[in-house]
Amino acid sequence: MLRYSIKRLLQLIPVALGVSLIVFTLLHISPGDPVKLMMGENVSQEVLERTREAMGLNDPFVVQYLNYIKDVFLHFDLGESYATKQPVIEEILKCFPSTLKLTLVSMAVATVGGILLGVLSAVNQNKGIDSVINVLALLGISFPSFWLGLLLILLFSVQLGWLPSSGLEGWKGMILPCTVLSLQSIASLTRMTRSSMLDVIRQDYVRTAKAKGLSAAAVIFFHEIKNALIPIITTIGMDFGSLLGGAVLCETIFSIQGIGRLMVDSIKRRDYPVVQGCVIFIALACCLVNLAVDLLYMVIDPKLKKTKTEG
Amino acid sequence: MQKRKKEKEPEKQSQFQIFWRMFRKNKLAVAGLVVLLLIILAAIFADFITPYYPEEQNLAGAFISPNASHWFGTDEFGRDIYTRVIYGARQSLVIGFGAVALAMVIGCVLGLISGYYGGAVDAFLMRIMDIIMAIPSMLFAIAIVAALGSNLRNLLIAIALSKIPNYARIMRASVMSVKQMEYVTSAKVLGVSNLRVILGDILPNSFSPIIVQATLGVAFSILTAAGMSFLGLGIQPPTPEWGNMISTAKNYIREFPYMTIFPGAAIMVTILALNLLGDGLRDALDPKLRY
Repeated sequence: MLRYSIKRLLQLIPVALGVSLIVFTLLHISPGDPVKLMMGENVSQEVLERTREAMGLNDPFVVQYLNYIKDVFLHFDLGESYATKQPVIEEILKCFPSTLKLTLVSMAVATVGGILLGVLSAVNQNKGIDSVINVLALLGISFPSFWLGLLLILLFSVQLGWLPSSGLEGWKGMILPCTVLSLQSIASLTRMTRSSMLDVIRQDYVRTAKAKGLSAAAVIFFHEIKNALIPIITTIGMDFGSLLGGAVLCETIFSIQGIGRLMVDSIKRRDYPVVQGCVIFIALACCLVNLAVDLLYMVIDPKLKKTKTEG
Repeated sequence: MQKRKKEKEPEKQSQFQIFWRMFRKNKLAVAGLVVLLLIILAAIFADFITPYYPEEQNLAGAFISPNASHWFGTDEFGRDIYTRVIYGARQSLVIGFGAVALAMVIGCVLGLISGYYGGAVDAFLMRIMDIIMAIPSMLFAIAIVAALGSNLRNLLIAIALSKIPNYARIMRASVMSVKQMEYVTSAKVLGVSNLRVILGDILPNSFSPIIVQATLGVAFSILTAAGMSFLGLGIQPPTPEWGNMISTAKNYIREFPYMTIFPGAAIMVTILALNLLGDGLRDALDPKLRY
């Protein structure tokens, strides 16, 4: 188990390097002179040239990239923002807590809600409640989240005045943003749980468990959910990435100072080091979550543990 | 002899007939298909459907609530929202289908190469796919648009690139499973060329999962494109697009909520139709659920 974990952790390195290369290249080829963006238009040619030399912008691309990843991975230094002159990592860490709070709460809501609804739907297959949940889940994956957010603000903040329309303060402030962000995940997880549970319910050992007189609840909890968990956890792990992506929209709608908002604002200000830093930071966060999910598989499924640690 | 022939008749149905029979049974999926076709037709014949021009301003007639001559009302420049929603379908459909087509072609080719040749080629290609998948697709699209500028073409490329790994992985998996089959081995032993084995035996067998993934992929692309335009990173006004219409409308949401409601409903109906169609295709193409 430990050896496998270390192996997987090491496999992260090429992925991290690849991500940084793609993002660095993309922003390297983007139009606009970084020195002019940083210092404004009214600077003499001489000063421009000197700054460019000092920043290493005249070096070949490969040298620039190597310097960049050296800073990133050895010193956790993502460069300096053009706009605020602050280190990018500080800007990101300032915004990250809001995004993390929003994403983790939404993920928890989605996990609990999705699994509960999915199980409820599967054990009542083809009954009224199953159809209702199916329709709701289908609507859920079809709703554009930013549109839903605006409609909810219209109803609960403007019309009824019950909930704040912006920010993430207190439990009242969390309700709308987390609902908006988690809706798609709840819906997709409900569908996943339902079909995964239905697969398990048809298995022989479930019939055996029922035949030997275990109560319905015991069968569901000890046999069905446990064995339906693998695809469910995969979905949760993959959803984390889309939640972080969705957080960009959610933060914009509810004016939350998170990492997604920071990124969009930075694009509009052409503050490329911040954009670059945000994308790399989030990609690494996603890699770590996927690693955690992978390790979680082995805790749940001993069969996998055996094959993976041996292979 | 003759009797046996008659009994065999139903099995002679082509794959497509079997599929169509299964698909037709699913009323919701058929409804999804019909709605989607209507949206496509509306987008193509937009010029004949509405008497207004999508970008024609009429400041005297701004902020008119929905009525008989302006079904969805008018916006802050007096433009007819119904007209803009219809024309907006063009952008969404082009991005949705275009991005998926591009991702599907590139992804399938990479997946084929990867699965068929295996070894170092496979390892290299799959590591690249891992890297792309490590970046959430919305963020990847944002990074690309930030670098290349925001317009329809770049948005399409951005979404397509982020989706290539999905198709490559499906294709690779089905190639690997088909490759072991006896008929493929025998074809190779008989001296059939690599290309013909791929085109003749492997591709048709990978068709179903790819089609299902593609249908859901169109829905995803349309949602992402609308989200990007909503953020101001996609298609720019005055070109009508559902996401950028909502983006403008949100400034007037307190006074004129209808401006936000109609473009959003258009997105939802489109996505719902695609999801229903995707579910129907998945069930109809799944041999386990047949008969």
